[in-house]
Amino acid sequence: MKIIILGAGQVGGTLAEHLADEQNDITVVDTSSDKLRALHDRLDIGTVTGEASHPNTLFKAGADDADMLIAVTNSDEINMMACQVAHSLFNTPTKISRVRSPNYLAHQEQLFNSGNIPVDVIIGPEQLVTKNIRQLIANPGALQVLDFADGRVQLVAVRAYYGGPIVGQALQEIRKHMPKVDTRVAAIFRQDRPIIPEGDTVVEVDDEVFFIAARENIRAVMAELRKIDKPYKRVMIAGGGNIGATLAQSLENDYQVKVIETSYARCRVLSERLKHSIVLNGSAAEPKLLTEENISSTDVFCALTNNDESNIMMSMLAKRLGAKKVITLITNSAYADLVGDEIDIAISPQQITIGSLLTHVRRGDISNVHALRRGAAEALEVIAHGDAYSSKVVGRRLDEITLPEGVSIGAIVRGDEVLIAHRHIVVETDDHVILFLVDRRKISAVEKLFAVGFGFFS
Amino acid sequence: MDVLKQLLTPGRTLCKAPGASKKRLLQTVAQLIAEDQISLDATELFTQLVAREKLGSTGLGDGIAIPHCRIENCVHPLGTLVTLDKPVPFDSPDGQPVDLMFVLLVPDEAHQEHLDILASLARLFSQTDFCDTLRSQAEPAQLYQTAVNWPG
Repeated sequence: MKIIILGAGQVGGTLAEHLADEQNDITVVDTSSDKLRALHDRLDIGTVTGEASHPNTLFKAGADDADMLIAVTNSDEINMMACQVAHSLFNTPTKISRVRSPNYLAHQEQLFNSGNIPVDVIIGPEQLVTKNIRQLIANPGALQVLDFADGRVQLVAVRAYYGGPIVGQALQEIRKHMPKVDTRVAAIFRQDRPIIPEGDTVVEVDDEVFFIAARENIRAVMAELRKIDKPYKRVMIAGGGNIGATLAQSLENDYQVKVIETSYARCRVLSERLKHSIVLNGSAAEPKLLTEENISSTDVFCALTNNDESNIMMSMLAKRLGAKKVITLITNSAYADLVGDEIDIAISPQQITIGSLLTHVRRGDISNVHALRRGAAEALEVIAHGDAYSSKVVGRRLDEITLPEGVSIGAIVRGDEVLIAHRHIVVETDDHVILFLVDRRKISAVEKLFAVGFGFFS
Repeated sequence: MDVLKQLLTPGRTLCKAPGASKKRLLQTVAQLIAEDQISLDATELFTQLVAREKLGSTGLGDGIAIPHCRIENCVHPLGTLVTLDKPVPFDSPDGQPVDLMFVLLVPDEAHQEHLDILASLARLFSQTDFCDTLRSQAEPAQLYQTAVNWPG
């Protein structure tokens, strides 16, 4: 596939890296030739220096032949304009744009369609990050909570702790403990090495376990793996920017929320927008303020400023002063690798954004892609099409489907019904199949497996 | 060949078309069909063909592809035959680029007849001598005549 990426920033660069090794023809456009050179030095991609939305820049980038345009420059307006130009002049089939401003997003459906601003997919990173953090707060103890099939199924990562009923036992014991709850462990990472779980795999202390279950069963399964954390009540948010404000707004009806923001003017805006949250003017790097605001009885401290270093330091401070859990926004992936146990969960906005972008890049009818473990692993939801003749999966029992190594099927969603993967289940057309890849390089084999055969009419 | 007689017209036969890419090729074909069939819209055709390709390539291998889809306002099955000036990457199962293409459009309602047409096209285009003869034609009129008069 030929893909043009506009913007060589964090997301554009990481995306190019992700896609360049998957037999795609990638061209990256940016105004900074330095940024492009840095990318070009390590990746097999084409680059064009210029204004991303200008017709001649897009022409030079090969828009005539491109299957997809991904606009992730820093400017919402340039991104949208680029999609318009690609649509009007080059007839580009798929146009994806990052749009940050909540002002545009509030009118998403009216604005963005082929008759108006022709963007096929809008990616709003702030919305995605907010949703991600909200899920983590709703599921105490989870390292990651990812939605599939509109949230009917979730993939959850937890660390197995000493004292969890299943820890030290084989996975098949879970069924005996919970005959009514169905779940499937998709993968286990032990000291960062993936293990494809079998029924007799023994869960060890400190394993990072990824399991799939219907949403209502998540808590029960988590209780098998670790002493269950009490539901969170008190949330403290450092940084009242877009993400902090949206998160506070979505949490304030169910939790006690405090927002700490350094700018007085911003605090005034926040206190008008937030109905039940307490807005505090000050710095979360100030131990006195944290102590006064009862950091020691805070369940979750979220550091969401736009500065990685501040986020990391204030999280460590909050943790030391007694916050039970800290969630930290870290954009620099090198930092994310660096931080240790003091930070419970590091959130990477570009990782989350990339998963969302990959949903549209992958071949096939894909509803969701989540990049996991810094992009090394991937979970995806594919819709199976065709019949027993035109598909290699439809009409087959799960144990008759030859999956590439390191790939497992976790669940199938059929209409409203959630079916946890067991060998006797037969895949039907329009099933949403949820797969886990411990190694994302297997993606093209998965795409081929789900591709419809020649005889399929759409 | 009867099936081609039913599906093809000289106006929908294109010889040595400039390909460059799968996207541009499908765009050219959509335009060609829309100009020939007033009831069909080029953008809609293009979108549908691209959508079908996303689910799985219609490349057959050996440089041949038969893109096909259902289309609203299409009264009866119709086709377009295109040879290319140079091969175009098409995500075919054998990885070979495509230089000979037949596009099949069928009405919206599913019908066994459509599957039969597709199957007979696939059989026809799996004959090496047929494909090579088509490839060697230099003019659209000759290409059309060769295709519809092929014995079988």
